[in-house]
Amino acid sequence: MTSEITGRTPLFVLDPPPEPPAAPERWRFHPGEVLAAVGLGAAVVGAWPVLLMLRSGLPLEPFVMIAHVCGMLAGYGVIVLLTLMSRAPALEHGVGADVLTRWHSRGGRIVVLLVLAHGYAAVAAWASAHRESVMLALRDVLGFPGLVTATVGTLFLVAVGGVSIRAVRRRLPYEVWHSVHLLTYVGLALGFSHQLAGPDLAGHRVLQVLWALLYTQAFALLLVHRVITPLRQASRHHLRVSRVREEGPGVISIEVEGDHLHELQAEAGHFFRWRFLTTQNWLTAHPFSLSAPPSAHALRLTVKSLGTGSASLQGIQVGTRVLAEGPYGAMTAARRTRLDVLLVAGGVGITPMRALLETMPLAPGRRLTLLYRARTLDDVLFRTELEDIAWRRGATIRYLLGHDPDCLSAQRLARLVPGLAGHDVYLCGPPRMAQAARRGLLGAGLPTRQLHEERFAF
Amino acid sequence: MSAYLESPFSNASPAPSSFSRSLAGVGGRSTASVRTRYRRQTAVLMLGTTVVGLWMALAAPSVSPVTPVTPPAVLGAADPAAGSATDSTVPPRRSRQLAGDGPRGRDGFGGRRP
Repeated sequence: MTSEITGRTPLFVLDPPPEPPAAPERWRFHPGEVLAAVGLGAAVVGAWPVLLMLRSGLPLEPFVMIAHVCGMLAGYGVIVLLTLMSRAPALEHGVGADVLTRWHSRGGRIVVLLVLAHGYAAVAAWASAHRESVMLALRDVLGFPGLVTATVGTLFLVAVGGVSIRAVRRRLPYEVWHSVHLLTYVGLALGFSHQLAGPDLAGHRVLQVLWALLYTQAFALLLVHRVITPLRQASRHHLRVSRVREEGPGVISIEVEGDHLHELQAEAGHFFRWRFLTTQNWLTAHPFSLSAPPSAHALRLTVKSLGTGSASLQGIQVGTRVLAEGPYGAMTAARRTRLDVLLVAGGVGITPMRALLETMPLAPGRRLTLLYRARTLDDVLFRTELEDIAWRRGATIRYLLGHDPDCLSAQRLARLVPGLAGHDVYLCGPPRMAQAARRGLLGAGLPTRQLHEERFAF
Repeated sequence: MSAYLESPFSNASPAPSSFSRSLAGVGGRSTASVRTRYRRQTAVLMLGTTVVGLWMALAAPSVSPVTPVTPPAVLGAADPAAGSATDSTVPPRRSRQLAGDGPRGRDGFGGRRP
């Protein structure tokens, strides 16, 4: 049974001045822009070998064409994958880390398939052209300069793809998976000379230069945002655990103090990848959202014991040194398109919502509502803080308690939140709850562009 | 469950961006100098990777060592004497190891095979 509790609701109705939401100040790429750019690039890169073949006057042989087009697209796909995972702020804050990771995961599968298709089609084309067996053709093709190293690189990519299959990855410790994933860079390095020397680029110096620059700039982005920036942040901010507070069974809030934290430009809704420098935890960076708006001297995260990593943080000591990479995430006030806001949280997904509830810019008279799904009232985190914020800001909180699977259905949501389609909705919760909420929200007429989400499971 | 009521209180909480703006004056000098230094370092890194990219591209062969696969029809029609239509894209020769390895067709491009 689901029960609903409304937080302290204020008393009067004010005239709602039509004040637009604050415009975002950061440079952000919209997901649609990124996809359009990637698609356009793929179309150009894929068309180039076909144009070359047409210009040569040779008949278009299917295997030959597949080999060339797949090879070029695979090379291009690698550049896209590297860029998506570079953690460049314009992508992280515009698209969102969870979306980027999903794109990277899908793109990775496509690239591995393209590389395999390229290799197979090249060998098959050779076998067909020379009327010999595939094995003989393979031996012949591998005899070309750079092809053995490119093949070893391909095997590395296949290995990385293999350990990234969900069923395999679940069984591997993160550290093992991560180490194997690093083979990607070795694989790319081994195959790079083959790319530049391939028949589609060789002889076209401008294209070779452009291709090489795309690769080196993608690597530069990775280097800057994944290696240099974290090192800079560590040396600049000197983060340490200053306070640990128990919020509930298996849930703690960790307050981290440091210097010059305003330089991070963190906002409510952002998350960091936290690396606690203890013997148990220093190898792994854990992504956790800010559970309170950042201040100039402190950041707060809240951790629920869900896995090995988060469980080991339960005993973290005050004074522990911390490295924090970030801020990341796109679920901030900058995503706003409407005046009314609905926050939907489930379980520990309340952490970014609690910060957003406090800081979300809101014109007088506009609606700010929090729907908080939990099993029982005892499972509600930050209850005192939430109700205090709601009272100060005139927000409404509705706790959706119990086990009723339909409590987030379209009908229930439409009843709970009048004018739902006119809201911006921020959603964060466990996968099943988030899926039910997503279905309910869209079913209740919410346009997709007004749903801003951060998924637990990338 | 309860009727929706709006707030009499000011909702003008600070926008997140104003957070950093408000602090810009506090220790602003050091922040500015640090940012300038970071930007300079990043620019140098980008310049360095650009040079590396240019070097790799300019060191790459202008003729592909990977022979384009010629369709069977063309192979059949082409003859050494004919000077094939694809000559412009054919490398002058491949590696020493492969040269003259005719019987298996390894140097079949250009009309020697089949």
